[in-house]
Amino acid sequence: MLRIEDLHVEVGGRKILRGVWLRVYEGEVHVIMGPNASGKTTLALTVLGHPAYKITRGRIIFLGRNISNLSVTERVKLGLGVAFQHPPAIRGVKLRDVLMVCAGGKPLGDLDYSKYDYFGDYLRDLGMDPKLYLDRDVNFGFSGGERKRVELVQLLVMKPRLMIFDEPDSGVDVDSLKHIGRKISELTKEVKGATIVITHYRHILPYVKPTVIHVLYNGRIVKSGNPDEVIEEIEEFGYEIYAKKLWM
Amino acid sequence: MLESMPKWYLRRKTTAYKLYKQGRTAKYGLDIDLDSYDVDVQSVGRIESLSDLPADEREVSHSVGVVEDESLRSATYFQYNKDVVYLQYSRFLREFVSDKLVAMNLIDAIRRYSWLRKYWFRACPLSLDKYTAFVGSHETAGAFIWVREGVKIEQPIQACLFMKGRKMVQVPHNILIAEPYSSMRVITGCVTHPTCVNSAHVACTEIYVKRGADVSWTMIHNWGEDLHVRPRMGAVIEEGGILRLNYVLISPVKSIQMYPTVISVGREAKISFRNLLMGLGDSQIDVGSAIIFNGSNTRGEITTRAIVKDSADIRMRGKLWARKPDVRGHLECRALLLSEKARASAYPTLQSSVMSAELTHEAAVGKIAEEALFYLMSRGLTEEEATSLLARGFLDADMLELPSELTMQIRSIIATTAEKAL
Repeated sequence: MLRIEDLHVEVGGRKILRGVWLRVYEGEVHVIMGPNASGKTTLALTVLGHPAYKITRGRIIFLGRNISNLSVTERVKLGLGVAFQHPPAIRGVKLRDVLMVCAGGKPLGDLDYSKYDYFGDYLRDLGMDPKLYLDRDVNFGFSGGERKRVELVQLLVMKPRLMIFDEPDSGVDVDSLKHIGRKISELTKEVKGATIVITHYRHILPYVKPTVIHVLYNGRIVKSGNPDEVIEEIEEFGYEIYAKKLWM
Repeated sequence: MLESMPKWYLRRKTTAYKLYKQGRTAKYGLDIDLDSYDVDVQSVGRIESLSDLPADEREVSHSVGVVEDESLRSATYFQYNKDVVYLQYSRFLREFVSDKLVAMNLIDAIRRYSWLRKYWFRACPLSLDKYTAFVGSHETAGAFIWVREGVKIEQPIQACLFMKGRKMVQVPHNILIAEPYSSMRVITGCVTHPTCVNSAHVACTEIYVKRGADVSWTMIHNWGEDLHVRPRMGAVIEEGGILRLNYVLISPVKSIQMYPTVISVGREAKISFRNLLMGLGDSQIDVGSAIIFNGSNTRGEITTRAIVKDSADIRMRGKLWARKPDVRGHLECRALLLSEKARASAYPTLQSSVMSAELTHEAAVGKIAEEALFYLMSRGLTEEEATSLLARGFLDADMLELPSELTMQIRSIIATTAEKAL
C-alpha cells in the first residue's frame, strides 16, 4: 500500500531524514517510535506533502503511484489522511465546517445540516457533546486531549485508506487513550486500509495492536521488529544507548 | 413640499446649504464634487408590497438581507432613489402594539413632531464636513424609527436603500430614537441595481440610545463598482444603554469613507463596533470607528476585520477617547491580504485624560497563515478552496452578536459573495 524508498528530507536546509525505507501492506498497523527530533513528524508531513519538507532523494509510492510530486490535495484525494500532532486553531472556521470538508461536502454554503447528523454520533462516541463543539472555532481553546479526539473524528469522517496518527496519545488521559487506540484499530479494519501510529509511549500499543514497531533515530529507521521485543529493549536501555548498540 | 415644513427646519436647512457651499472637505478620503450628481431622480412610485417590485430588483435587495416574508420583520422601510415607496408594520405590530413603534419617512416625521428639532443633526454635527451639510440641505427622505419607553421589539426592523439610475446621488437621513429601557434591532441594506453607474450615496444616520435602552444597528452594503459612498453617523448613548453597530461590506465600490462616532454621556454604557469588510476590485475603502467615553464605567469595543483582494486599498481607523474614570476600551483591526497588489493599513488611536481608564489595541496586517491553509488542504480542499474558507471564516458573522436567525442570514450573504469573489 505504501512504499517509502531511501527517503532523504530537508527542512530549511537542515537534513532531517537520511534514508528511510518502509513498506506498509493492507491490514497492517505500524508504530514508529523514537526520541524527540528523530524525524517522526517530518516523515508524516513529508508523506502528506507539506511544502516546507523537501525530498532530496528517494520516493514515496502510494497505491502503486509515485506521489512524491503530488500536491497535498491530490494525495488526500488518493486516500491519505493524517491526524496532526499540533493541529492549528483557526478563528472563524467551525469544527462543523472542517468535518463537512472531511465528508467531501461544502462548508458554510451548505446549510442543510441534517444530512451531517452523524458527526454528532462520532463526537458522542468519544465522550464529547456535539452541542458544545460543532459550532466552535476548530481547535480554538481546545485542550490537548480534545484536539487529539477531534483529529480522530476528522479521520473517522474522511475514512482514508492510509492513516497516519502523529502522537495521538500525548496529553490524553488513560481512559481516552484506550478509546482512541481501539477506534484506530477498528477504523483500520473498517476501511480495509493501513495505519501508521507515531508515538513516544508504549501505553497505546495494546489497543492499536501493532503489526510491527520501528525505531526512528537520527533520520533513519534503526530497528524494526516484534512489538514486545523492541519495547523491552528500548525500556531497558533508552533510545540513545539502544540506537548506539544497534549501530555497533 | 417645503411650504408645509416647520420654520425651524427651513431656517436650519438654509444654514446647511451655506455650510455646504463653504465646501469643507472631509478629513479622509478623496473629495467628490457632489454638484455633478442629480438628487431628483424619479422612482417607481408607491408599491403595495415588496413582491410588486420586478424580479431583478427584488433579487438585489435580497443580497443585503431584505426579506419579503414580513412575519420575520417588525417593520419594513424601502427607499427607492429619493422616495419612500413602501412602508409597513408587521401584522403583529399593527394589531397589538401599534403605537409603541413609529417607523416613517423622516420628512413626514419632522412635519408631525416639532420636538424633532432637538434631534435633527445633534448626534452628527451639520458642520462636520460638506457631506453632512449636503444631507442637511438636500435630504429627500430617510427612516425615522422611534420606539417608546419600555417597549421591546423582538423582530428586526428592516430598511432598504435602493438606487437605480445614472449620475445620481441618494441622500437619506435616518434618525433612530430608543426611549428608556426599550430595545430593538435594525437591519439596513444599501444596494444599487446593476445598471446604476457613476453615482453617489451620501447619508446621515443619527442614533439616540436613552437610559437602559438596547439597540443594534446592522448595515449591509452592496454597491456598484463606480459608486462613491459617504455615510455619516453619530450616536449618543445614555446611562446603562447598549449599542451595537455592525457594518458588513460585500462588494467592490469606487470609494467609501466613513467614520461613525459614538459618544457616551451616561455611566455604564456598552458600545460595540463590528466591521466586516471585503475589499475587492479597485475599491478605496477608508472605514473608521470612534468611541468618545464621556460617561464613567463605560465599556467600548471596536473590531474591524478586512480581507483585501485584487488592487483594493483598505484603511482601518479607530479611536478610543477616555474622558471619564473607569472606562475600558479595546480596539482591534485585522486585515488579510489575498493578492500582491492589495493594500491595507491600520491607524489605531488611543487617547486618555484619566488615570483609571484602560484602553488597549491590537492590529495585524498579513497574509493567511500557511499552517491553517495546509491543515484545511490536508482535509481535501484545494489551495483556492482553503483560502476561500479561511477568508470567509475570518469574516465571521458570529462576531456581530445578533440573534441566530439574522446571524445565519448574514453568514450566508457573506459566504455567497465570498464564494463568487474569491
